[in-house]
Amino acid sequence: MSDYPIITNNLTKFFDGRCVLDDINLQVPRGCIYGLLGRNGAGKTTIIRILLGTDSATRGRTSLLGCDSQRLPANLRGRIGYVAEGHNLIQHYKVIRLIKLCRDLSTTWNEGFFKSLIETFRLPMDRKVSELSTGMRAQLNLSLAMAIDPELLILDDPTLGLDTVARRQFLELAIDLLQKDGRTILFSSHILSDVERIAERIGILAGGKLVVDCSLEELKNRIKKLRLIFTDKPPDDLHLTEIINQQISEHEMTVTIANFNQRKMSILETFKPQSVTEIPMSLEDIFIECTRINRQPIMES
Amino acid sequence: MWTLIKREIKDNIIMFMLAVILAGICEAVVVSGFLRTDAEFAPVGIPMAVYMVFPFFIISLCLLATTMGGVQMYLDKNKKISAFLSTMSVTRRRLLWAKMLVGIIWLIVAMLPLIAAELFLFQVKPRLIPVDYSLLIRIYIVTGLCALSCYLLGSNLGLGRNRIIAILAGAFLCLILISLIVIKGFGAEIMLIFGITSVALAVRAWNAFMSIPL
Repeated sequence: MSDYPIITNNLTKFFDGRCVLDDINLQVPRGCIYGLLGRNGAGKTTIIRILLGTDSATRGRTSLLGCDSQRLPANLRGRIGYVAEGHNLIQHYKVIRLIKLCRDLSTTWNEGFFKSLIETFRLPMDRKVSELSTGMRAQLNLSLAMAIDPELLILDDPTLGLDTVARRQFLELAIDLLQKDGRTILFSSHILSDVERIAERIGILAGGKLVVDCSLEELKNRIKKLRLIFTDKPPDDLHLTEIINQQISEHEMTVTIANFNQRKMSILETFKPQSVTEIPMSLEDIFIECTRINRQPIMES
Repeated sequence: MWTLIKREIKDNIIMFMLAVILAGICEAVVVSGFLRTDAEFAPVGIPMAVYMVFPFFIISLCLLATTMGGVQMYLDKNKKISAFLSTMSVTRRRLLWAKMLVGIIWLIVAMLPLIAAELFLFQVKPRLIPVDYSLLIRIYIVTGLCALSCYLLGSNLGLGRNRIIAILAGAFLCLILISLIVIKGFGAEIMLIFGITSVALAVRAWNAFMSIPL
């Protein structure tokens, strides 16, 4: 059993001559909830599709549960739950027919757990999937993914289209699932508060690169946004590495620095600022800062 | 695998119904040809009505087979059904096997009733002129291989992105395959040609399905 159920090695993907993923190296440890973030078109869904073997890499290798993604055998696939962006279920099927198909194809179907999910979500069995609302489709997709008792759960923007209550239910279910030993979740989302709530580790994709890959706590501790007030004009260059963003006005400089430590603080103090104030940053603020223009890794651990 | 085969049959039930209708029409013509006491006979001992049904049957069967292959692949890919199924306990290989097996079952459904009816009628209603069974067998082998080629042609075209090109190319190439029967007849040569065409198209469909993004 691999200690890293999800691995990408030098993963590169080109679409029509455009580099979407550039040399991505990612290792998700067993039992971890990994939040994959990135702007629209950053390559989150592409990574997930390559991991699942529904698309191929231009260069590099990916593996799931210790097996090459392109050669995943049926029994391993049966241990991976997947909720796709847009919930690509079989639209012209009735809900009951789709459930039966998934049950028949599954090797580890947990009927009791599935029934409890269906009752929680109150899904209508006699309607066609295409007639369900986006939220209901998301719930059905999630129920089907969870019913197989997955060792690895891959969720590609699963809360898209869900109302607040359904989103909360989903997050609680995800946490419940994780409480079972050894479950791993790869979770991509646009709703950063969701990621902040459940993810232990964060990856941020920007410009085709994985610019952040570390624990959420570490990310919050190591990225600092400072407001420096100067009596005169602020210096043009702070002579610091890992500056993510820097804005200068008349006497004020706002700077976001990765891997901030005492040594960097000492360098800042050599410019004799009148005051240095730390601006608190939420995950959303960090995400916005990290996805501005960066192509180089900011934080890796 | 059985689940996947059942799904394919249910999802393509209209194509199966069309196959049954085609077989039914041809059978009706064949039976009426046998029952008519003043029926004319072709030189090989087969009633003219039965003889004349073949061109209609071959053309219709091949066009339907192309459609069947195209519909199976195009709809699944376009509606992302294959992508959904491939995230379950199913490999691409199994998905493709299920499709191909259902394609072959479809061909059997379309062809077998007519073959069975003819053989039965030839047995129960003795002909004045001896029946050339070897010609009948060759006709059905060539028809089957041509329809198989057309089915695999449709499968290949169904994997493309453009529906209009797939339909036009499918109809055009299907008619070219049928016209080879007019040129070559029902001999061993045409069987070889259709056999090689089928293998080449099957290999191409296999490679394409195993490597395309679903």
